[in-house]
Amino acid sequence: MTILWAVLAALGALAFLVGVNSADAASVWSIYLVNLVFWSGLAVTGPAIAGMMQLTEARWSPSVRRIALTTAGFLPVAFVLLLVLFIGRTTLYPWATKPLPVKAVWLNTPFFWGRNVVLALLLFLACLAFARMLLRDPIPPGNENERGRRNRLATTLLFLWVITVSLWGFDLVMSLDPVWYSGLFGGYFVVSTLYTGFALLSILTVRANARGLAAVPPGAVQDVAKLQFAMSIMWMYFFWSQYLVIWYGNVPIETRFVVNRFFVQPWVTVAWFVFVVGWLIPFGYLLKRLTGRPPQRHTPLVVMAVFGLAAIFLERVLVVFPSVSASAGLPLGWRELGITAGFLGLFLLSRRWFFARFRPVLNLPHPSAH
Amino acid sequence: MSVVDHREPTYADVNRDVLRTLQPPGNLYFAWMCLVGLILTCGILAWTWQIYVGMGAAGKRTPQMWAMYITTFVFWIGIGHAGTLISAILYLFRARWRTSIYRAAEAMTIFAVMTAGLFPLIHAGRMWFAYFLLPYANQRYLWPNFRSPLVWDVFAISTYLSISTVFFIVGLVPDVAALRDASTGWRRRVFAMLSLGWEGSDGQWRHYRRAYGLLAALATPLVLSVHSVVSWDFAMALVPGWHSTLFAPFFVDGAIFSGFAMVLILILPMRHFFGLHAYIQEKHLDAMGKLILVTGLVLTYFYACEAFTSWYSGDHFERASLFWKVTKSYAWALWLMYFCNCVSPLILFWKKARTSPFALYVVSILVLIGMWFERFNIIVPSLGHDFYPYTWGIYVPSLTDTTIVIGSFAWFFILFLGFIKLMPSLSVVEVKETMPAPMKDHGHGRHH
Repeated sequence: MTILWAVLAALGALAFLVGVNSADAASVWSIYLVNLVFWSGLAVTGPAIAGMMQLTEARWSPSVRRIALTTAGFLPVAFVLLLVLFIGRTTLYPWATKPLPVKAVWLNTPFFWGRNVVLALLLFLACLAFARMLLRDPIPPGNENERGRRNRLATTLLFLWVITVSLWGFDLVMSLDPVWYSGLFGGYFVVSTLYTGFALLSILTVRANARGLAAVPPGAVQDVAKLQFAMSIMWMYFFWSQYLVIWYGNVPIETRFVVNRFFVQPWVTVAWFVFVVGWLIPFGYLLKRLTGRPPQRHTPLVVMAVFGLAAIFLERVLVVFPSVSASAGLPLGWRELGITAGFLGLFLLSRRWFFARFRPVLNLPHPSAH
Repeated sequence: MSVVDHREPTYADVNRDVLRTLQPPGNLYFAWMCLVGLILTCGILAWTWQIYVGMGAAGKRTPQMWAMYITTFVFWIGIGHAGTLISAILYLFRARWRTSIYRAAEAMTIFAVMTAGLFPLIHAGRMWFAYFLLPYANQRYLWPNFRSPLVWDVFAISTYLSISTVFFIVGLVPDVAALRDASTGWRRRVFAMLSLGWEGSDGQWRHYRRAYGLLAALATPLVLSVHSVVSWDFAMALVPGWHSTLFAPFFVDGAIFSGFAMVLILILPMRHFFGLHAYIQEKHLDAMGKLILVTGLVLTYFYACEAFTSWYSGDHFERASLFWKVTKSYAWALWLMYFCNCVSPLILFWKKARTSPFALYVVSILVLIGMWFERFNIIVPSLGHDFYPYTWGIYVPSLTDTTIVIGSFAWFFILFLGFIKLMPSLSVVEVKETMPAPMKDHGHGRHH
């Protein structure tokens, strides 16, 4: 499989190189940005979830905590890819060539890239340090110093995670249309990224069980499903909180963004697809699943998680593409698909690297009473 | 037993210690009752005066026709949030530490919503026309405007009060049955009626658990919905400082933050005066402290996003409103809010502070002050500095509205003081569930 992922990564690189030198560079940079925020979001959210479990003293599954950490392998790659995005700044961000005087203090090239690169570097380093620390032996009872060190690092990581992912929302995505603004967009980006994190964690947990790498009991898988369910609701709540206020206020500077996405083809179809596949279907299934005993079969849960991931990916397409070009169409060309496949290949390859480098033991004993 | 000695309580201790809270009150209790009764009387007199002379007595005038009353209304609705969060959401998350505090938190929720419900009546002036808010047609063809967030409020808050009350009563049933069995005379008859025929059979427990889980699941979305709807009272308007997509989660988080602070304000004296240290332990205080810290940090994040967006919008009016709030007439209120809500909870990063009743009490009081001023800062300065300079103005509270607001606190505390003497303020059943079962081969019901 490693060869297949490497071929996909190479294909993605080729598609990108051909695409950025073509007349369709805007679309290529757009899909690059979509993939960058999506896969980097997944990579940083795994350690963030482990950090939350550390701070809340979650004892329901030590294996799940370690599985969450394994997404950190993509972080060194994500950092390089973030630096590559700098090359496409004039294509993506109109304020880079025509500064807006009223926002120039915030939207200027040195400060914009300086803060995003520095914060990403700090976050990625904190994630890797936390992963290294947690993959050591479990804390012996009574070793409060070690627990304190882990808690401090988890706190730092979570601070950096919220600030950085919010800035990805405000800076990397919202400023594509520098006139439009929404105060909740950063928080929305954090919550939707957390949804993808839990969806991926569901998949990885079920897969680790299937491959015999871990023995996560059905009750703990059910708990991951509960968190995925909760975050899907939070995602929709954060979306609705913005949509309703914008619709009701009916201020042109705000509604323009919404109208372009929810009332104009092909984006209105994408928007409905995101709503139905990313929220409505998973909500229905997970509500049913969570009201009974934990099931032994987890295939439907994996399907719902894939739905969630696919929907958030398309939601990123939905917020990025119409901002970059009003006439943009669906990113279904071979270059766009190739770049997406390349990111997928890189993500899977880097996770393999993480396993080879850290050799995480995932099969940890679980508490008997759940 | 004297549970202050910190030895592990037995099942018998739980019964005795909880029932002891219902014994006839002492002088201290009556002194507190007299004090809050006096303040409440002042509040009622002030309201009567306002009804007699008109709304001019309240100090409200253009442009701040929403002032102290709506500020306090939102404040009390916010306080009502923590109870449902502790009861329902922490129950679903299997956070067992909630068992010692959730009963008091639920009671607090209901009393806070009852207190909040007074303010639309007080604010409207002619409260005998309050039924106009209800969505029905009348002979003058005045249909309620369903697009108005104020009508949404009526639905949201009445739903919240209904579900919270049912949840509270259902949770009380097994404990009231225990009270019934331990009492005589008229009390026994009252408790027998309230315990709904509870006998503790397997079948009853099975239905009880199912109903409790279902109500918890129903109550959870209400934690989000109620204060979101309240926030839209403001966010739907185009007033600078109000029209923000951020408001719904921002209000919900602030509500939970202030609700936790009020829970601590209530349970710390209960723990001290009733000697409940064995049930409300340091780990409970620690957990509450952590929740206040986390919700405070999230609130700080929202403050930062709010200020950032006001500036980033580039909108002249938004920026002017922000600048006015930060530097002009009400700047003291804004900076006091930032100190109370953003700075003071930071001490809870230290475990010593999280487990110190004194530190927690001080932080909780500061948080309540900060959260009241947060609503004040949203309402009063925003209305006082909107689009047109000729409508700008400064609001000065009057003796009447200040007395009514202070009286609302007395109303809330008098309800709570009454509750702790009428009903068990700890759940006997759930506290026992967190303890190991007594073993027959150990004398006197002791367990090890």
